[in-house]
Amino acid sequence: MTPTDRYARVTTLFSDALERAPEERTTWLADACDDPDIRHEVEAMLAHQMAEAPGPLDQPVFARPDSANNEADTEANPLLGQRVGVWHVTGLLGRGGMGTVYRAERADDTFTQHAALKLVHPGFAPDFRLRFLRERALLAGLDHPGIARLLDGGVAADGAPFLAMELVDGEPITAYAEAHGLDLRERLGLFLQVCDAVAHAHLHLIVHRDLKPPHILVENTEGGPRVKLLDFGIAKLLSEEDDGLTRTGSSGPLTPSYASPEQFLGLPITTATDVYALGLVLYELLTGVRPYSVDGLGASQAERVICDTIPTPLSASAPPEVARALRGDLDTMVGKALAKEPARRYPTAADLAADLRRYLGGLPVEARPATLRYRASRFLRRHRIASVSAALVVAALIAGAGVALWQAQAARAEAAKAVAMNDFLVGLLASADPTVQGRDVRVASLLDQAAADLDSVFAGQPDVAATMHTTLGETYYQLGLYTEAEAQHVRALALRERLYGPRHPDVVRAQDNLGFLWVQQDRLAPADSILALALASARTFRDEDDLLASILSSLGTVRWWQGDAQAALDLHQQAVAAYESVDEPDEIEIAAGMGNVADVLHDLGRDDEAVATMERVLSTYRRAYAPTNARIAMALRDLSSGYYGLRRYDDAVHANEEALALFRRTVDPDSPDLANTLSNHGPVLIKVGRYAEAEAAEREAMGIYERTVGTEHQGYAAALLKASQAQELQGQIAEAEAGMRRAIAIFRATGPEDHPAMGHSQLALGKLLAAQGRDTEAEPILRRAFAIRSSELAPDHPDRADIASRLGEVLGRLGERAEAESLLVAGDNVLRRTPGDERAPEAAARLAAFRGTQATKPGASD
Amino acid sequence: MADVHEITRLLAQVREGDDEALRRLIPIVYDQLRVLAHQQRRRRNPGETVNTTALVHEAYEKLARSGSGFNDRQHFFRVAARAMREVLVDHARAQRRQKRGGGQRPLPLDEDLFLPPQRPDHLLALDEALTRLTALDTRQAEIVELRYFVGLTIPEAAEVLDLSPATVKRDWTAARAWLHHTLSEAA
Repeated sequence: MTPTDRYARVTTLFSDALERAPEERTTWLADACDDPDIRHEVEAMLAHQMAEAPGPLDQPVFARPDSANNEADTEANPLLGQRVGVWHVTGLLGRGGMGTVYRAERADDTFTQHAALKLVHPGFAPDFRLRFLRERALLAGLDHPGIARLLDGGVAADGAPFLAMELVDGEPITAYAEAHGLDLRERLGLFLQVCDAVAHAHLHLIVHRDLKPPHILVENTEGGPRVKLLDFGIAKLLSEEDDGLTRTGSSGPLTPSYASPEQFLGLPITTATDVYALGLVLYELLTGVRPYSVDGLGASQAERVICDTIPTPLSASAPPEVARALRGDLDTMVGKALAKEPARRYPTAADLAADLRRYLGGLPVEARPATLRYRASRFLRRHRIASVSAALVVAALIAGAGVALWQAQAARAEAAKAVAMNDFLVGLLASADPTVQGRDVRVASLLDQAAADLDSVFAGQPDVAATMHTTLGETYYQLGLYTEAEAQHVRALALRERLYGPRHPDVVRAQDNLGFLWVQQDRLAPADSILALALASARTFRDEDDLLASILSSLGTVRWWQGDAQAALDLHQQAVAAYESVDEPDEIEIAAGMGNVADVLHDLGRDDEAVATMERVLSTYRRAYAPTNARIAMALRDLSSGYYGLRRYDDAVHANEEALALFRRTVDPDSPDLANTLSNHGPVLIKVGRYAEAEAAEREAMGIYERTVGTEHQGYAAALLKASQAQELQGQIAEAEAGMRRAIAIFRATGPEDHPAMGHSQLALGKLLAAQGRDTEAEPILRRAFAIRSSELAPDHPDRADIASRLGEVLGRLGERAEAESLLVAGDNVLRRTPGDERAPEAAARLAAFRGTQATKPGASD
Repeated sequence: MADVHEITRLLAQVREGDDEALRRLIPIVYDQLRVLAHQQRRRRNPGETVNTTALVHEAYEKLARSGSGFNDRQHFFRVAARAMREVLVDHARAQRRQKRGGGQRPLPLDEDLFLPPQRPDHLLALDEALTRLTALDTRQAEIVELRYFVGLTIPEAAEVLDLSPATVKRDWTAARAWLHHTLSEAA
């Protein structure tokens, strides 16, 4: 037998054996194969296959988040009456996805200790023992009355890992607050206890990772209700992602309903992750509902909701009797805790608690409302491709060192410098070597070590030290440790200033890094000054267009968030020009810059130019990406809205049709992108007279919303409203009216009474009723629409004028002639001065008709 | 960067079983991956490392869009997997040499973009075992290359190799068990 034939035999036997039950395999193999050598090899392979420990091949060179292939064995066996370690199991407390929780007690010589014993399915935590030993010391350091203590842990006789925790007899915070009818202040007081306990853990750099009401219990004690947090640090102990110098966060969050965007995307977990969960808990505690629900959603839809959708403001979700109290500061504070980007949240639970105390004490709070729109999703999306993990942090350090080495060589510096740096890194990595220290050196402490050693190791080489500080700063930034990142960038800047004076490109690069960090943290004033300084220097450099562009772009963002759109525009345009003059221009970078320009142009009302810019972005994407890339579809959709605003309806139809075709080919059929594009498509089709198709598009959108988020949703209601408008245009008046009334009811149930959608939907219904001559019914509805829209639109806005004119017409027919005339005249005046508005002739005709009836009704005039 | 037509031509020769063409193609594809890696890094944050899978996909798309009529996704991925393997193995060798003090040659810098946080010895042992596997079962070895060095999933690897996912899964399971067995015997 040739080696190839022999191996083929081995493979076949192995695969066939795998299809049999484990206990039958040996016998089967003995029958099937009489060559003991081959049999031995197959048995060895089977042993490796069945072993739980991962081998080298399970850690691909660069792991991807979707490559998890763990097959968990989820059999649980009830253990009542049995012993687990030193614990005697006395009852069942509950079952969860990961395992079972029992009541247990330990009888010692002197006292009896009760515990909640958590038994984990063996498949969940293959190297649990190792992790437990590693984390135990850390968790034992948590000593706070608000945190249930970890008493013991180990591996049961059958191999299942277990944890014994202080037994807490309480109810979840939300249920407790309801059952005891707590008022707002009492609820906030309870919540502050939660914050204080979490803050204690944050001080010890322990993140809970899975905060939710079932983990936040309230006990009645003599001193009043006391909060106890369960399962602190347990999520990390049991999670897939770990140590791993190789694996990224793969299994996703433990509890999707309370997961933060970064948990969902497999990005670094920080104290701000707990702040997000605290925001969700506070929201639920104050309103009785969660800001969003992802129950029953698929992963991509849930991601959309968690990572992209700005939640309904706290006060809009609350029952009317408490909504007033929540409006303002509490809205803002919860909004800040729930920011999509960790950098925009309160950094730790202590900061959230401090702001809540300021609120309770009647002092001004630190959180401030987000006054200008910004794209919440951008930050996270930009990061997710690289899925940062501990492994990548180390790799990033090496890559950063590579740049520094290269610079050292380019400067023809002595080779010793490069060698020194290399030794430093190798030492650093050795300390992270899995075989040396039991697989987990906490990344942050690795970095802290590096930061502490840097200056003394490179005392004679400040240029190298500065580069390393920069790399450390970037790495801390990725881990969400902004204070540490800042310290590193500040140090790099100081070193370089001392070396090169104030205006050297490397100095400016350090300023740019610091400015970028501050912009991301929303610290606009310091970002503004350092970037302005950097810009002044960068303008004097030659061949540093990349640097110049980066500064201009950050500064443009600062201006925009400060509300100075004109200056933002100027800076973003200069950034694009700078990106274009780089030696090897990067089209995508240029297109991203132009996207900023288009956003600002749109803000300034310069829609013509915004659209022209969007067209250029689109053509870049078409060149740079594969024709099916989703970014092209998104650009087309944005462009279609731009065309619609410019009344270029045919162009709008074409752009949307192409976007739809692309989405249909590339995204899941229930994708929110598809729903949203379909829902935008209806009004466009209505404008070109294709009513039946408009209705069909909206119905399709409604179907998607219904399947994914249900019918009590603004997206569903908006599509229903537009479908009804298309029906009205096709003469199906009764169906249209019913649809509009249903849409209004949904908007009313899901948003505040003065939401613009309430204005739009009541206007549609009022128009329909007026067209049917049902003026007495139309009048109050149009009045409400007018009131809502008037509160947000300038007096000379054509939309407002249109409603005024329509309301005037109805009032005229009802005999309210004085009010009718002033509304009709006002509407006509505004629309007459709006070039190209198709509603102008109608307004003029209404006024003329009113005046005509006036002429035939003597006595009505005065 | 090498001419796209050159790449296309060499790929065609690889397809016809020309090993010399493969040998010449690897540095070219690697070069292209390196350039893309640099661009990726510029576009993102400086500290981020490169995702190999995304990179190989991007390299392919770029090639496919170049107007050369190139559309041989399968062969491109196979070559890219080979290129990644060679680069990483070379790198690991250099690293080991350096550790043993056998010369002060600095690291080939661009490889740092790809450098996996693995010990060079592990990678070299795996490489040797994989070479042995190639002699025994070329298809299994190729599946391992695509899965391990490019990070393709089972369905993706099946597409590249024009096999059913069930076959790939079966081969992968056997290859993985054999490699783990072989590596643990060697250790």
